[in-house]
Amino acid sequence: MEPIQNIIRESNYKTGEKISRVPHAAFCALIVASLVIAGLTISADLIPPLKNWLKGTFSHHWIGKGVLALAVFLISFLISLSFSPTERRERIALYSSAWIVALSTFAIVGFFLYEAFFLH
Amino acid sequence: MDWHTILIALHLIGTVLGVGGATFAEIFLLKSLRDGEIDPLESSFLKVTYRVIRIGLALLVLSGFGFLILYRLTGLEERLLSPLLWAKLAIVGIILANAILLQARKIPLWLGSALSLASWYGAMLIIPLRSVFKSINAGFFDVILIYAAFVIITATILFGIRRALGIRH
Amino acid sequence: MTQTLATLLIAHIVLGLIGIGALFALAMALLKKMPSMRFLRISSLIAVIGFILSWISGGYYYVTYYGGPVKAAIKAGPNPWAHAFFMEAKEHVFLLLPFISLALACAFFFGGERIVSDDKKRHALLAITLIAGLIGVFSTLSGVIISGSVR
Repeated sequence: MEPIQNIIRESNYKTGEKISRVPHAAFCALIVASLVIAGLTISADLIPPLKNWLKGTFSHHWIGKGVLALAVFLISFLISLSFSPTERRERIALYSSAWIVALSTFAIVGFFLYEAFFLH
Repeated sequence: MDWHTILIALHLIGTVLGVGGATFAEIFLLKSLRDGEIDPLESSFLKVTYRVIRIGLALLVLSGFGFLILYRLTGLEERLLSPLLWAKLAIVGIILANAILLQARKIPLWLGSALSLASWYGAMLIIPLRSVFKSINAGFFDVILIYAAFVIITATILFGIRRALGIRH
Repeated sequence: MTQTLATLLIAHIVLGLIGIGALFALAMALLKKMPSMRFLRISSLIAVIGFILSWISGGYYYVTYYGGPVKAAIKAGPNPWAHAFFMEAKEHVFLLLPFISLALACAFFFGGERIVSDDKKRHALLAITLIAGLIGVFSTLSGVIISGSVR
């Protein structure tokens, strides 16, 4: 059971002081974009038809990944803006985005490390 | 005036500001700690010195990468994989990491200041001493080992100076 | 390499370094108990602009030129892993940087002192900034290796 002071503090922010939705929305969008970038990067290399589709649609697979990441970021941002965050939710979004970004980075680097030095 | 000359000038200015700044930061710190505390005037001197070091670092990094760009564009790409260059890059990386660790107070002051001073002088001396390194066929790890020894020597000298001045940690 | 491509390559590197420098400045500021909001906002804005422009300039160079003669030269040279690992990893992790810096800028511009005065949130922002900085450093050093492997 969360300490009563924390519940009161969040209620005060819920009913009293409004917090801007933008930071929470931005970090939620960052989480989604990071996952999409890592997911697209790894799957495009493992699934040639996906890479070919990206190349055919966007003239280059890397442009396709960038455009899709941007689109996903913007859409996630706009959707997240519709939520009224609390201080706690904002904190969770911040912490989660740090972890997800780190994991996405390790996934991408680890994948190419494996492909370049261990696969062949 | 060609780009090479401009970059050398900027790199030298950056080095002077950085090495000079790091030297005086250490001198001011030792002077400030003699009475056991850093008062506002001493703190302001240190802040200005740190700002000078950061300006020097920015000039150094930008002009340093300017050289790398020049090598790339003039067919001297093999210099980009030189062990001495990578040792210098590693030392600059240590300067940056050390600055963050000192600010976060995750590293003791005696070690942080020794690392800072040794790294600045090390980064400065690597290129002038390249003929010495080449004569002993020093690779990347050899240079880093010599640098590590230099850090230990610097820390020992600073420890001796602090003891002589009666500065306690 | 044409003059335009050389200019784009220079712009990519310099703007990327400015972005990384801005992240370093952000990290140093976030380590203070009471950082200056003005400094945080300006640094985060410089990071966003730097990385977006570096993305565009580097992207144009990569898409129009690198894939042809440069990639072939690296793969045929003594260090084919410079492309297989360093370029592949760099071109994809770099995609994260503009979004990270944009999210940080949103935190400082719209969250302001409310977010920064909260110790836990400030530490989370610091962690994200440092991760972004490491991505930037990795990209930079990868770029040096890639360029050094063009023979």
